[in-house]
Amino acid sequence: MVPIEYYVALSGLLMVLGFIGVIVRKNIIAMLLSTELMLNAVNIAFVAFDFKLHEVSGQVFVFFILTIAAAEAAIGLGLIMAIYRMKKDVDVEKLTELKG
Amino acid sequence: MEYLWIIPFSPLIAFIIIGLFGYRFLREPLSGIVAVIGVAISAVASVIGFVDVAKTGSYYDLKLFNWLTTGDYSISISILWDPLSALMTCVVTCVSTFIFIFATGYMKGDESYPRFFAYLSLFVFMMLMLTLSDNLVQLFFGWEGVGLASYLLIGFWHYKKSASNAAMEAFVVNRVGDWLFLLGILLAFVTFGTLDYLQIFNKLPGTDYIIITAIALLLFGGAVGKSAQIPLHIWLPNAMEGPTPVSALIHAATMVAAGVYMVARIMPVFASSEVALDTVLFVGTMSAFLAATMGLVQNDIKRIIAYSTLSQLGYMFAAEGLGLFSEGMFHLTSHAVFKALLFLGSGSVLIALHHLLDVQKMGQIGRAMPITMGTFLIGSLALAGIPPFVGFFSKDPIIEGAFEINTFAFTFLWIGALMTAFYIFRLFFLTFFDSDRLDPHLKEHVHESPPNMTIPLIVLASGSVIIGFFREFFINFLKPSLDPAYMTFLSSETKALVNEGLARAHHVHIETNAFEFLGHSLTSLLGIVLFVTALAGILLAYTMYQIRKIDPVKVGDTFKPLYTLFYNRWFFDHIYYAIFVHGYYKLSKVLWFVGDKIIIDGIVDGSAKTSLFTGEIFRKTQLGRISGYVLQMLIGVVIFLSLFFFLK
Amino acid sequence: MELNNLAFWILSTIAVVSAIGVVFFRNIIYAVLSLISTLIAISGLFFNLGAELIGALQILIYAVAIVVFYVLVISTVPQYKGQSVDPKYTLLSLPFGFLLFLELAYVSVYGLWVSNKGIFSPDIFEKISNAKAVSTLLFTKYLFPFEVASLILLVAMIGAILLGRKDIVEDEEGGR
Repeated sequence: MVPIEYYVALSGLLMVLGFIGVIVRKNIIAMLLSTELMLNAVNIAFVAFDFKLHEVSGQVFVFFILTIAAAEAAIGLGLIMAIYRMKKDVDVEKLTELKG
Repeated sequence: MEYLWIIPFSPLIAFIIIGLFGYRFLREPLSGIVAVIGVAISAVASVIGFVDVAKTGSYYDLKLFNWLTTGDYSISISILWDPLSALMTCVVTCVSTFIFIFATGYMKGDESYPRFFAYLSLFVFMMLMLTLSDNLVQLFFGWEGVGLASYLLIGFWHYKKSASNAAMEAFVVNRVGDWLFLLGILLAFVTFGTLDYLQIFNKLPGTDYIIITAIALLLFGGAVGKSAQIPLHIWLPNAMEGPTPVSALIHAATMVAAGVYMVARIMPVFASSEVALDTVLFVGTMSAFLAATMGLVQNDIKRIIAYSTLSQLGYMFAAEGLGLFSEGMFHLTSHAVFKALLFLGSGSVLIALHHLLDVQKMGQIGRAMPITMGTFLIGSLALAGIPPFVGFFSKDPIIEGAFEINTFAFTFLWIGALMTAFYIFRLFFLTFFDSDRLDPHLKEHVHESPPNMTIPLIVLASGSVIIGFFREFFINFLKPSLDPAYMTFLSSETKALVNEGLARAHHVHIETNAFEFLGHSLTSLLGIVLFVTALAGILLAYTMYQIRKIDPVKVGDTFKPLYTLFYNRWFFDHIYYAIFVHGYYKLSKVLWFVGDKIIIDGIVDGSAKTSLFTGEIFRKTQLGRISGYVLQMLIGVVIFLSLFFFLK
Repeated sequence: MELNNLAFWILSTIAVVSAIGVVFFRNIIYAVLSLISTLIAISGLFFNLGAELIGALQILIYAVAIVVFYVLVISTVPQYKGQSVDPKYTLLSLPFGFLLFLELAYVSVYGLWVSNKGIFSPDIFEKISNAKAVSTLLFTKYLFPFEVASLILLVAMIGAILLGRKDIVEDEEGGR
């Protein structure tokens, strides 16, 4: 059995990869995909902690995260559709209304 | 006696009905009729209750419902029905009824007709809450309520700037008095732990003299404001901007008498403190005298009567200060009748002359308006104190009592009586007789008023003639409320205390029977002097303004300084204006500059400028690209986690 | 080498490599396929740990339901033709990302060491299954959050429908 710490480190790595993905991608859909990566990293951490700490609450929270991820995907993609219909593009460089 | 609850709530119901449906369904004649019915019902109920009390001489303390409980004491909405409150309630409701009837004629054609009657009904409700209360809090509720109604009615024609200013002035000046009154209530509650009159009275003997004096003086401060005594009198003459029925009801007959009533209501408290009684006497005397001097030279018909109201209220307070509480209340009753009559008479004149107020521009309208003139004459004779009218039976005993108790008060009250007779007949002659100075256009339209205005005049005039002869009945009737020997609700210690306080009036004997009093005063020297004084005032007015043997203008020039002093109302208004209005303005200006301009604006503008400046800098970081924001967030997370490592 | 260890190394390598694919594939279809591969690998890791219920849910909900959303949207939106990544941001984010990875790993491992232990020791799982333990907790202690989660899903569904509609509602109300 590999030490649980390895799982936690893996979750950290996936988290950072998701973070970097959100930063570097220019396609909004790909940014949303990267957030899914981050959510999964958290899932791994929860489950790993559970087995180290002899708990099951973390797995219940994974269940909730799955629910929220579904909701987030539905809303996020709906927003992307709306943005696309308005701008005819999904490039984040075109979406700079907040520029100061 | 359960039916007594009808008395206050019938006008309230009328108010609600008119307030809700006045403009939409009732409109011109109906809303007035509803108001008259509402107040007439309570008048009938109060007369029935009055007769009951007159038969038995006992008192009823009905607790209608609990309002709120504070600690051990619960404030209740209640009715204390004893001779004093019965008399006051009867005065309020009966006079109100006639004034309401008069108002249905006077306000004819006014576009805010329903609103007027709604306010009037509200006023009557509040006034009855005041008179029927058995504790100081309900009294204060009514006290503030009548103040509100007075404010609304003075400013009834709110589109007139002077009217809305006068309303504001009345409200603000009353605030000063009400503030003192509230302090008095709080002090009473702290001292006695209760606010019910009957309980307060019986706790008096064990209480410190200084505290009783303080309570009495603070409560009297409220009475000074509400009854427009010196030095808080300035609002009442200006309050004449309201419609004339309002002036008659609120600013002559009922509301301004609330202060007199309140002092009589808690008579044992005042009687326990000599200083308080002396203050009441002094303020009353000075008001009676000063207001009379101011009334001498005014030219506005309603203001002259207003000053006479001030002066007569001063007589009432003087009577209470002398310890003659029954005489004060009797004068209140008679004054309510004849002053309402005078005001309604002047209202009738104003309707005929299309609201011309200056008496110097009137004249010789008596022929066109015989009923108004006749009733006005009766009212004037009553005010001047000519037998057998009611003023004679109520005012002369006060002056005679003053003669035996306090020479200082007697002097001023006596001179005041002379001036009273003079100014009211000056008004009478200038208005109804004298030369013809009236604008010809107006003169064509001068006519007698319709029956719904003249009938109240006739009724009130008959009252002014008759009521005086019931003097004995009234004085005996009030004994269970105002004479400690007959007050069944007082403990023996309190009776002793009150008796001691009223000792100043014990040696005074004034005939209670009207006929004996009449005979007595027409034979004794003092009585003859007073009678001659009143006649002299009338004759002086006759020579100056009717046959013009003495030129008023020349008299005014001869006594130039006095004339200026009187005409400018002893400069009270100017002094108050200089001190309070200008002083306040200056103070506000300083505070505006220091507080507002420098401190607050400094902070506000400074913070705005700071945020503008920093915003300019941080604006650069707002790229508008999500990636940028996430990158900044990443850096932030890294920094915070590093901090966590270093600080752990 | 134990089978467990072998599985971990293989699955984690697949997960990381396909995660890198998600981040850097230019074609969005490839990125989605990499995401599916990552998700399946993570699900395998869950099974490897012994969390069968979560592993199964991971495949059911994530790999199937959510990814279908993405495929639907990608097929609606025309192909994206621009640059896949922004080089300036890549250069900036990689060092910070590495720092964050070190710190995150340290913080979570540290938390793992110092936290208190619960009651679900491995010998309990020999008596009752993992799925039973999780669902018992879910339907007793976490029943209310569970209901709230269902409500959130409903709201999200309505929101997605409203956002995805072609006609704006106001136009219909305008009567034109």
